[in-house]
Amino acid sequence: MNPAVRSGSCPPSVDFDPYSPELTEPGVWDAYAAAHAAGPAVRSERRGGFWMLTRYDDVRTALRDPQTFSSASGHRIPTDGTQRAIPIDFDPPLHTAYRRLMTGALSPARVREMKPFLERTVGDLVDRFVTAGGGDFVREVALPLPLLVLTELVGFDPTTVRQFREVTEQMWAGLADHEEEVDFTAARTRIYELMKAEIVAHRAGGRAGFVTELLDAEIDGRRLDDEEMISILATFAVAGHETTMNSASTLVHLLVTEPGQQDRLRANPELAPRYVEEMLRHRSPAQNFARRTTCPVSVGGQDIAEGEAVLLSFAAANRDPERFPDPNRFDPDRDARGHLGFGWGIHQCMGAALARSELAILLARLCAHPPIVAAGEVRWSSLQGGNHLGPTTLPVRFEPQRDEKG
Amino acid sequence: MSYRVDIDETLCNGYGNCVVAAPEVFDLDAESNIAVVLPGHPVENDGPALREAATDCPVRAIVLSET
Repeated sequence: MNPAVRSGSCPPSVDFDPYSPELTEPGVWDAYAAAHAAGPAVRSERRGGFWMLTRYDDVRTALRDPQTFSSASGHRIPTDGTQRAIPIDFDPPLHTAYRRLMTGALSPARVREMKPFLERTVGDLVDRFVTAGGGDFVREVALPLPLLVLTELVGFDPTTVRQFREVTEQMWAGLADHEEEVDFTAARTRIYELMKAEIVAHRAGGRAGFVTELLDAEIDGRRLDDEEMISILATFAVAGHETTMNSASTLVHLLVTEPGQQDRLRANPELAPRYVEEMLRHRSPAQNFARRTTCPVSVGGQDIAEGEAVLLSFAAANRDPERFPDPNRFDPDRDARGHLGFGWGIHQCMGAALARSELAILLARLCAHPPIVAAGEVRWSSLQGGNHLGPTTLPVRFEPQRDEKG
Repeated sequence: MSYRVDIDETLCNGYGNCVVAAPEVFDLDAESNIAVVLPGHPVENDGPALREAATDCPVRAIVLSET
């Protein structure tokens, strides 16, 4: 796809299809830069047509204003109202009630409680990986880690969790399948069936954890129906592994491609949280989220009518030079605070505290072993669901010699 | 106008948006990762930053009252 800006017309437009297989590393950043350069609100006619916002202040302002920029028609393009993921495809007050049901499983107290489990799980995975001499970091560490965490956190059966990757990839493929249409309902069929089976198993008794608690949970004085439970569990299943997997792999990719940064982290493992934050800013593992306008609005002088789909590009905003000078540089020393890696406002990632803890523990553990070097070519996904970007294969090995030469 | 800030520790999830909005007023506790009000605050001039911090909190953990 050619991200080149069409000129001469007003409003400025870009040929940006979030589901394009060609939107991947490194060209995806050129596509964002082109959209950013074209204007504060640029028009793409792909997938039913939408506006795209790329400036940090504009994206954050939109995220702060859920009344104008509604989530109720869906968080992906096209915002056709058939997406019903809980809580992200809802507005307050229902959103608030749904979200409160889910945050208990992710509270700071719960994350603290889980720390010994995280240390043990990360330790086991990394030690086994090092003993094997390395391998594909995505498959051996970055994917199994969040899956094991989901088993502990939500109470999913290990056999269910093992199917998450396959059914999730099927969903992404389903969304990107058609030329200009997106069939959300068909794409989520298998993952919803899997969640339904979990609910049935928990209802039969003898199981514990969040899934079981959900069976008795109430909002507004009523029990949840099966559709709601399925949607809540699907959020944990998909958002709970895709994002962490991509974050972990992207961090290791950065360490491999920038040995100087790796050496510095190895000498100062207490910098791990800074590396995590800067990776979230620099690479934005979750890149684009849609909204729909509920009234006419002006963004940077560009009028947007009521009922328009608007794609908020967190990834582009995180590389807005007005907010983050020299934005394409990975620099753990910069002040990355306020980055939109987890979004901003009422829909901000519920798993942020858990992810931060998990990723910092992972980096610190990796630093206890010999330096990591590339052992083959890294391969990247396209934007999965128009949103998620990460390595699909990341072959690495450990190189004790580099340490000795030191 | 003076202000009173209460942080609901059962809601705070350590996002740190308040620290971005009002770095002179809030910090995250290094141990618990829960927002804390820095000593000597809030003061009279903190008003606008406090309102931004309260608005930006994803979980509405900051309760602001004018006294």
